[in-house]
Amino acid sequence: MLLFSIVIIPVLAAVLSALLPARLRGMANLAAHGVLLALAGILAYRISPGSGIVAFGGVLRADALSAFFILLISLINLAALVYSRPYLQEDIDGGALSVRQARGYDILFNVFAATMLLVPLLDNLGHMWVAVELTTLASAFLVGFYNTKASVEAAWKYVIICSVGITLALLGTVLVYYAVAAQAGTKTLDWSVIMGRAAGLNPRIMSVAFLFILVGYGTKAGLAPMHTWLPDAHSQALTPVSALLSGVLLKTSLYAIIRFAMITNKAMGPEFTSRLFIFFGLFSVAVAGIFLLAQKDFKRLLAYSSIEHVGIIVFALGVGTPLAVFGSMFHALNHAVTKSLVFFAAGNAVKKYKTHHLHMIHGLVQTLPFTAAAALVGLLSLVGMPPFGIFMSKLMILSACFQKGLYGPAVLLLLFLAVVFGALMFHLSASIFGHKPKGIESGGEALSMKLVFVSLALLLVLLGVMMPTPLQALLVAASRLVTGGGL
Amino acid sequence: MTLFLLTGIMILTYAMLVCHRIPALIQNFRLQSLFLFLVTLDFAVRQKEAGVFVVAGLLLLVKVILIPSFLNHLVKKIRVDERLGLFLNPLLSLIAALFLTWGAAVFCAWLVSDSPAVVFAAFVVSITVVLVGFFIMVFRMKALTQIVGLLVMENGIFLLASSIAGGMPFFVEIVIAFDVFVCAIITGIFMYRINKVFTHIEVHRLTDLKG
Amino acid sequence: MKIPLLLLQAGIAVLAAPLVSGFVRRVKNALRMRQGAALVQPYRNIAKYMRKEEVVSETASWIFRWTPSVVLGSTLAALMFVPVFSFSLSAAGMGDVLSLFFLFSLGRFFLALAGLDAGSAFGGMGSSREMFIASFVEPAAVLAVAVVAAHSSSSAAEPLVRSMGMSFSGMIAAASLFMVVLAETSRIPVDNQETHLELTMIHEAMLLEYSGPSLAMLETAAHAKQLIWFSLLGAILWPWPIGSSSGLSAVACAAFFVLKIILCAIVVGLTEIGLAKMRLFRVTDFLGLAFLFSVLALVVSGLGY
Repeated sequence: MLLFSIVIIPVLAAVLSALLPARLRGMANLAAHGVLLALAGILAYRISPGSGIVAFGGVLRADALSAFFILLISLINLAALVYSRPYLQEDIDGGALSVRQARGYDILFNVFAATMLLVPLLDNLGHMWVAVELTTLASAFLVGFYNTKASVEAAWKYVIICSVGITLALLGTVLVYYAVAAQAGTKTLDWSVIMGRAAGLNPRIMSVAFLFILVGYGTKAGLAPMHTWLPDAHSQALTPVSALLSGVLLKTSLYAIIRFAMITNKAMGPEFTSRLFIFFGLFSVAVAGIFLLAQKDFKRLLAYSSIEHVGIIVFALGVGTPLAVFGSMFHALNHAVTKSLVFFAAGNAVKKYKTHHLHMIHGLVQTLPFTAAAALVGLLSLVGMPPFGIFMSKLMILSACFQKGLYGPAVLLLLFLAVVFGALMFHLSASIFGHKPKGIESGGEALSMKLVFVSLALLLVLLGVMMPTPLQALLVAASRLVTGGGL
Repeated sequence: MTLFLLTGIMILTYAMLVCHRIPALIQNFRLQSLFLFLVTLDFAVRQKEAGVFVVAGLLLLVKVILIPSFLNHLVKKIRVDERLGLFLNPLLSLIAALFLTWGAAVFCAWLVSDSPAVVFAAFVVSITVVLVGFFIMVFRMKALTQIVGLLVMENGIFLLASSIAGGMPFFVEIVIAFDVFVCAIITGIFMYRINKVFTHIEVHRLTDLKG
Repeated sequence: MKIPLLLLQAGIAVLAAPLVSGFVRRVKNALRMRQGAALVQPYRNIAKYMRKEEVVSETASWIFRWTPSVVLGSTLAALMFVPVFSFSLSAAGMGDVLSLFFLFSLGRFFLALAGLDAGSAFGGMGSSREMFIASFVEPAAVLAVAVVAAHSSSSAAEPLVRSMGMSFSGMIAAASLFMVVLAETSRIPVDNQETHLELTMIHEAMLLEYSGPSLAMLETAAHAKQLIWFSLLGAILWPWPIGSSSGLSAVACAAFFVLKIILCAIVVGLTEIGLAKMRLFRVTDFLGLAFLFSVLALVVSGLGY
């Protein structure tokens, strides 16, 4: 019942958005996503390490790993929803959007949320594939929402590149299916069943299948060199949607990769996936670092930073010790929170200065004090300063790396991270401080926006200073599930 | 029989590369889907499973009738130049496709080294179809050809699923077929928008976003 | 013992060959919802030509006069190398499938010379086009047959055909051969038998200067060549029951043969209806595809499938 309601609530909210008038719609959506976050919390709390909850005749299934991702998704969803209300209102007042489009936004937002929540809950790998593809299709309209040349182009690239990637992932899924059918004669794509029989699967086919999966879902997760859609989509989407894309959409694809990696590890040992993960992780961080140095667009800057962080998460998965996997999950959470915070700040700045160009955005402290504070906190967190969460998770990942004796990759990672550090600090400090240009007035931050900024920043500090025990238990259970061993 | 159908799909896939005009490409896609339907039907007859029959019927409905008709409708509606805008002439494309098939054949011989000829052929043809679909997406730079290329890639995977693994579980097939349909519709809508905003559908001229 | 039977078989085949052309035309007309000419129209044409007076250009040399006999003769000889009803000369150890191609080349060579010889512009144009196409067709055909031969480790027609069965490389080779057949029998999309439009015709252009009995001989040769290709294609795609091992009587074998030819004719007719005539310089795409399929068949057979 719990799982079922998590899936059905956003769908109901979408239906309600189509029917209700504007004011009620806002309340209904807020209530729906508040309840969702509460349900996700209950799920995360109730889930016992080791076993899963099954619902709906085995179609829906949740274990610690899915519970963690559900929590992540519903948290960022709620923040984006609260932020998007004043954001859209400004657009409506300014004439950029019509009231009808705002209704469309609400419907699409909920459909998008529903598809994302569906991904971690589906046991069947084929169904999961469909859910991931649906997240693309649902969010494509949100990327191309303004219907300008740039946004239509971005949406097109997004849909096409991600669909190709996803299609390759389907090929990988079919190969896994073939391997299972060839080995045991059972025709099934249920993850829990396959996992039980993974030990005997043909390693040759599994290795090819996993490559397709990694390239396929990796496209959607924003791994370099398949990341080309990501900066376009992130920069052109509505800001709350950018936060969702970067904060959680990339992670749902990572979730799919993790599920397949678990099967592959069981079938052919962890070396194969580990090497691939480390390679793609490092490559993504390196590519992101290079592009960050030369970046001139505020939102694209943040998009490349997302590629960097996905790279770190995947790298940590490659290191593969329980501590590293723990760190990688924790990093996913930290990154989602931080990136939403910075994206929201960027959205405000872009709206205020009416430009994406970094060299035209100066003196945020004077014009938008709350936004500037949020951007500063987010920036410090992004580059890995204490006392924020990302510092902790990076520390865990690196120490796990050294513990395992992977000195070379660890040093490379540190090197690339230094490049990223320099680039981000250089670009953003000028925007946050500096002198405000003439003709731009101060003020204009809605109360709910300030609320979002403050709560996200507090959450970041909380994650960095002392992790809540239930969250820790959940992460431990999840990483134990992934590594298949103790912690 | 399966071998015969697979060869037919192979021919149609190659024939896609010599197409010069959009309607010809769509027609070719329709025929390819028809052969895919026949492969599934052949399988259904041999397995005598009601579910596979339903899946075959769904393929017929979605891939042979609905999607090509929708694309044709779209082409008529946006009234663009019907030529495909080849980036690589047909003969060179064919040679490239030959190398793709050769690669696929060597790869599949390694992958499924000790299996019967039909399984091997199914692997080779499916992988070729996927690769050629990708090739069409890269070297035929119109929005519509990218949609068709994507659909061709998906056809290849369906082929693999139904010819080697005997079709995926019933509900998965149904849901995936539905998803492909939705995907075609949505990409079609975006193509319509591109034509409206840019007054052309040539993807290589979409270069506003860089870096 | 075998030789008289062989001659009898070849004779029947030649006599029946125009019927195949007529049948393909009936198929096409039925699909076009047209009345169309009778099944025996090709016979009527040949009979008509036989009755007509022959006119020879003053500039023409002996080549022009001898060509019809050479073409018809080489085609008849070729007919004896393919397994038609049940057996062929190659079974007697007198040659293999490759000799088939040499005989065709001989006929083509003389026909092209004759086209030039008469001195008319169209003839020369037809010859040049014919050779242009032949340069694509012949490698594709030889390679396709070579693949099949490699599979049976013999290039003699019957063991070759019998060992084919249904292999993947054989299927691809057959696809290539099918395209070759379309080109060799002057069919859409390479050529069009139904028009004498100056700008597009190829085979007809070479025959343009011929009249009377010579024309009748060349047409008969064209019909016979078509039958040879159809039976080769039929034998490779569906080898059964050629050869003595099936234990069927000659009559049953002949019945199966007729069935295969009918199927072939229907497929060719359908293809012709479904496609449009290509521009000459796009024919390279089409025949290039045929050649590529042959190469592909070679690759696949090299992998052992």
